[in-house]
Amino acid sequence: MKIPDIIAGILGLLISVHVIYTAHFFPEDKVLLLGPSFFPTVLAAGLGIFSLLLLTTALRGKSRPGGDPFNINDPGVHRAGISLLATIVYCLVLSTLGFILTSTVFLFGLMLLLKRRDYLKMAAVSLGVTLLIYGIFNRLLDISLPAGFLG
Amino acid sequence: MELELLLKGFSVVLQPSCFGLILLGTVSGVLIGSLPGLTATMGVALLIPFTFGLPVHQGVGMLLGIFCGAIYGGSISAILIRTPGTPAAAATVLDGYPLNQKGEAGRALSMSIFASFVGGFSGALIMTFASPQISKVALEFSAPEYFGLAIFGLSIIISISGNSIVKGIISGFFGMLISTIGLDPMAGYPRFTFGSMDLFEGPAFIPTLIGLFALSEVFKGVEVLYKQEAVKMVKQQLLPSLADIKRTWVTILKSTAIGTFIGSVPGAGSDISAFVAYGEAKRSSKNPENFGKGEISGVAAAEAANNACTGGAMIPMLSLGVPGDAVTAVLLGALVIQGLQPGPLLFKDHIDIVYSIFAGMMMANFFMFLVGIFGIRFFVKIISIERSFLIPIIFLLSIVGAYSMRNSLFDVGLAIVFGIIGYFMQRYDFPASPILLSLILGPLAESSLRRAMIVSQGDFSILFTRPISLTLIILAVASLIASAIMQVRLEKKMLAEQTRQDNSD
Repeated sequence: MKIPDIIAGILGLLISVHVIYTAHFFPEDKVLLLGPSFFPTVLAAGLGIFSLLLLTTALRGKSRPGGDPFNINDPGVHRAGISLLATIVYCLVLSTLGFILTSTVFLFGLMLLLKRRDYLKMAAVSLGVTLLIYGIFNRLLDISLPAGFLG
Repeated sequence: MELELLLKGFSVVLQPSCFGLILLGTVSGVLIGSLPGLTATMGVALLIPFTFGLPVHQGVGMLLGIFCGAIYGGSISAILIRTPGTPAAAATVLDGYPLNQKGEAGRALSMSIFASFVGGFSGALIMTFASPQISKVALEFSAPEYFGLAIFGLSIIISISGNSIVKGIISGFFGMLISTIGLDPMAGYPRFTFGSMDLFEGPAFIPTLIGLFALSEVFKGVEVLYKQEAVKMVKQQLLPSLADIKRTWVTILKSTAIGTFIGSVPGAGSDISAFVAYGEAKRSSKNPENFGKGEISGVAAAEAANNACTGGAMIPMLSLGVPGDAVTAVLLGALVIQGLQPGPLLFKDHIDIVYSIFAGMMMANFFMFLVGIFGIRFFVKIISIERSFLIPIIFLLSIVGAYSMRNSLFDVGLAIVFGIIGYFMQRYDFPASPILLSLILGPLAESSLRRAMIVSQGDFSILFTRPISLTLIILAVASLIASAIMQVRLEKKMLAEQTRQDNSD
């Protein structure tokens, strides 16, 4: 039995049911004949059928080998989890703290997570890359990145 | 007339600004391609934001440079460190690395750039002459034909499904469902927007793409740490010897034809074309036993084919609006952002731009040749760049790329959401390419089907009674069946291999 396939199958089924249910309330269209609900409903039905197939295959223990096994104790999984959470935090504080500060700190943290320990070089690269990208977008391409409270 | 247009195209791309940007794109492309883990798709997606403020021919020229450069660049790391920089260079490893082990890395690298240039340039030439002809036929298309075309394009999802057909199809349906988010294209009714105005136009293409292909790689890169391989400086050889050219020219020409043809079939990308050409070179060789042990024709076949594929893949993208592979799907998105809709109407309304694209593609291949010859020492050094620096840089480019399209933090969040989805998909063997294809072809399928139904007053038989739409639907079904059979065979082979390995352990 392959747990990730079971979870993916259930998720697929839930999405499928949600789409079909929601699309049911879309208005019918007498002029256009095929209304806004037609295409999503057909697609959701397709998703549902193949998710069910994935689920039943996994429950029967006949899933194809492949994919990395998920081990909660694996340090790699911890690192990935931390980077996912940190990215969400990055997005939340970006507008308040601004691009330069948030990005420099985040890049430094990411390098730390990637097991670098040469702090001076890390700080220089974090700040240098951030300023370079900020400069290219702000000055050359005229795309203003969030300045935050410093702006 | 066509020659005149082509000359006009060249006069545009030879302007210093355009010329410089194509060169910059090509250098960036070779750089991206030579770094293992960075694909051509990711490279183009990450650098699209740099083209936002540029005129069409400059922006697209730069992206074409990245595309051509990256496909060649993959061969550098394939030959030097046995790791293909891009999937397209997987077949190059087979003989390129053994040549390196024999102390002939310079010979392999010079053959790689020579074959890449011949393949890429010829592919671009074929594209220049074939695309307008195909677009003329496509001008006759109306809604049922476009529906057939979209279904044909979608039918290749199986062939890009990787290890599991079911997972590939699930990804395809998921992608098409994502493409239904936003205002309904015919009636303007908001669908699955959760009340958010930011979703009225659907999830923005570039942030979605960046999330799926670049941010997911960041998360994966943080999870799996691996040691950087040291690269020895090679003895440089600018061009292959006359003896090597004499020995390989038939293979190069044959592989170019194979690559361009396979590239022009939607779905079959440069990795497949390289393997097919390699197989053919081995089959027709007088010394097939040398292949895999450092045969120079093996490098020539793989590299000529994968670069010829770039021109081939552009043919359906430009003339029909159906991308030939994942990179051309991203390029199609880039053209749409520039306000152009690839397809037959592009040839009718913006023929000047089309020919500047043709000229730009040839120019990009020419630059690739020069950059490959003279820049090899630099790229050998670049391969050694530490991933602990590279991953944070990809992260930052992803964030800025997602933000800069609409100056929107919502889009950054969107990229992160798709990055997380992409990471889990990659981890559990769900291919991301079908989503990309579905995002492009899903809306085309829906709007053309609904338009066809208005014309036929709800009669579905209109799809099967018009010759072109019927042919396209039959081709789609045939392609589905053929790729399903091939995929099942591949799955069986892999399963047998796995069992054999388990038993031997």
